[in-house]
Amino acid sequence: MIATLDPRVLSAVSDLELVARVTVDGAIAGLHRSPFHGYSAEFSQYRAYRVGDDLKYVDWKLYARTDRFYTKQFRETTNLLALMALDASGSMGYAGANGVTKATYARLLGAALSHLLAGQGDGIGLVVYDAAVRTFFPSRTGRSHIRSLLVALSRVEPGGRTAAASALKRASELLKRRGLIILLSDLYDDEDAVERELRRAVRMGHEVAVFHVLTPDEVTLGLNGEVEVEDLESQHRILTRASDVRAQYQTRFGEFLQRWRTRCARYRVDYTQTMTDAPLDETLRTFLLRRRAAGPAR
Amino acid sequence: MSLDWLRPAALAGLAVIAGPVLVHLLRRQRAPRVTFPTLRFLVPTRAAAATLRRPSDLLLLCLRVTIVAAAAIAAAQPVFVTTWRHAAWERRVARVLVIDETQSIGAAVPRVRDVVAAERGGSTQVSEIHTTSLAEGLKQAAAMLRRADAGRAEIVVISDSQLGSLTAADVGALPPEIGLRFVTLGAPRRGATFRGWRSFHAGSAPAVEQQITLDGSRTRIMLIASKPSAREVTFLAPRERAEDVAVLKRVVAAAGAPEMPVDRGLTMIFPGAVLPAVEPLRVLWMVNALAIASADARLLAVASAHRGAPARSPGTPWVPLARNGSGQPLVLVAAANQNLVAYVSAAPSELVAAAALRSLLFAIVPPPNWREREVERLSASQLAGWTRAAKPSAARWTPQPPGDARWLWGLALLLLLVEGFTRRASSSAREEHAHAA
Repeated sequence: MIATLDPRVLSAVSDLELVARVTVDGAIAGLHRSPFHGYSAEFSQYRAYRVGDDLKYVDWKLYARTDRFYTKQFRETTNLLALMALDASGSMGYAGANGVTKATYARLLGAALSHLLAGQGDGIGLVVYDAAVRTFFPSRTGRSHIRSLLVALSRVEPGGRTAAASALKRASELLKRRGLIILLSDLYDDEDAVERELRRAVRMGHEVAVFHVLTPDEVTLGLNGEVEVEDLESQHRILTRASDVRAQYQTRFGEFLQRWRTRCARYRVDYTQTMTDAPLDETLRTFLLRRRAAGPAR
Repeated sequence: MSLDWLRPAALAGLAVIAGPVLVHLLRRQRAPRVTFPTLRFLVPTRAAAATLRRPSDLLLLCLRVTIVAAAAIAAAQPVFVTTWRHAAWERRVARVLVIDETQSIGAAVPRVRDVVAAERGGSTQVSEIHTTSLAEGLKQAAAMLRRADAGRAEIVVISDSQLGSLTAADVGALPPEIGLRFVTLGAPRRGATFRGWRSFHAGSAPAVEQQITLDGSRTRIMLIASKPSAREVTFLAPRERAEDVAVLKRVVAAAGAPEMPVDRGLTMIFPGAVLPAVEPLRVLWMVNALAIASADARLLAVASAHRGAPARSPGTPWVPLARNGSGQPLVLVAAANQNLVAYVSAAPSELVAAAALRSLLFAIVPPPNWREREVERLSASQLAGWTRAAKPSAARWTPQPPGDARWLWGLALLLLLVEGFTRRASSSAREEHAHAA
């Protein structure tokens, strides 16, 4: 039995690296290979051994059969470059009933993904944005880079408005070659503009994965009675009676979710809707399993 | 059961109820403010806005209004007039003891004290009126009892009940609900002999004195010879009027008048005599004499009927005592060397001079209190006829402190606690409700 990792517990742990490791360990337990397919070393041909060749590339089995030394040659050795775009706008500061904000959940998820990718030698970068890009870490490998990235993640505080389109545009341009763009957001944004940038990223050859982070309260409208509701980003307020508008809200929200599913499917964007009360390792595991089932993109 | 108030003016405090109502109306219902990631799927509702215009928190408003009302009503000190309370009120007796203080009761004074002590026991309110006039005492007692806080009122007359000390008219003037009892003290006297006036005498006529003997219902007055008074009336008149003055004295003596007491003096001045230096009336007996004489109907009648033109009247500080038919001063008085000086603006032979002299003599020498000398008593049957029990009167009802305010203060205090609890509970419930999923 695999124990699930409660986001409430994980959010209370200050060591993001530890959280990431525990989450990844829980998520990949039972998975035999990584679903990430980078441009790793690929066998090309044999050639006759020359003095000075590294003995570790000598094919000893072939030597046993032919009694001659042959050295294995590889065509290319490249790793996956990934870039996470983390939404740090005000709406991400909303906490559901479990007290975990969407920003926290996204941060934990991002840390787990970073740890996972770094563990297999892939490069990982980070773009933290609200109305503009706040922080940028280019995709790199190495422990010190990952630590810096985790520190940056741990310092993310939600605030301001959202403009994912510009962040996505910059991310797709900053990836030096085809790579993986991971968007962690609640997608309360200019939907058309974001769709446009997603399509652009896909056309540039990048893989795109979207984690749509939400709280259960948002989906069901977890308010009661007459309330003055204040928008976390615009600070606009309206007076409403939750019981009167709940059905309409849920319908509209359902349509909003459906729109994003449709858009992502249209451009082969990997769309994962997750709730802040969902165990992190399960979210990650579901994501990984779906990717493995989908097979390597290229 | 009815309701009465000790301080009804405090009911104006009920206007304070408008305070919490206004506060609740003005503050309205404040919707709890909650933050939300986006408003794009939410719509404002009119119902919510309308609700917010209603007074906020009706339960709290009701509690606060009730607290203020209870406090205002408590301040007005309500009294619930129950049957029991009314009966208790009617059992309360206000009693006024009218105590005879005339000389005739002198020997019975220790007994008066005992009676007063006995009458004080068992009565809620007892007042005493010490008087030499029982009739006046009854009037004062009735006035006092009109303001008494008791269901019944009673007057107890403690007296030796001399005949004439009270009349049926005196008793009849009392309100019918006021009870009346008589406690007669002192042993009845069979008779008494005492001196009356020393008569004003003139010329060589002998001075006489009254000797009055009361013998049951009979009265005998004897005139016995006495020494003339050391103090006589002084007359200032022109020499040619000396005979008139002598006639005047004889006329007054014949008509009967008291003799001047040794400590007071009277000077009669007629036109043509030299006026002495006079001063305003300042001595009490002189002022009293002026007051009494100026009310003497006989003098006033004679003066107004006087036909002769008065001589020129002296001015200040002379005070007119009587005027003729034309309103001109005919008799004036002033003071000089502790003497009362009367100026008569007519000849000594005129009737007005005799009337003025006689009136002033009676005014200067106060009449003896003949009633004090009475030996007869009001009959027992008469007193029994006047005696009556005190009746409870609804008109006398006045609410008595402390009233029932303490219950309302207690209620207000209790509601205050409930209000505090409700306020806290309501506040936290609102917050929880707003955030509850």
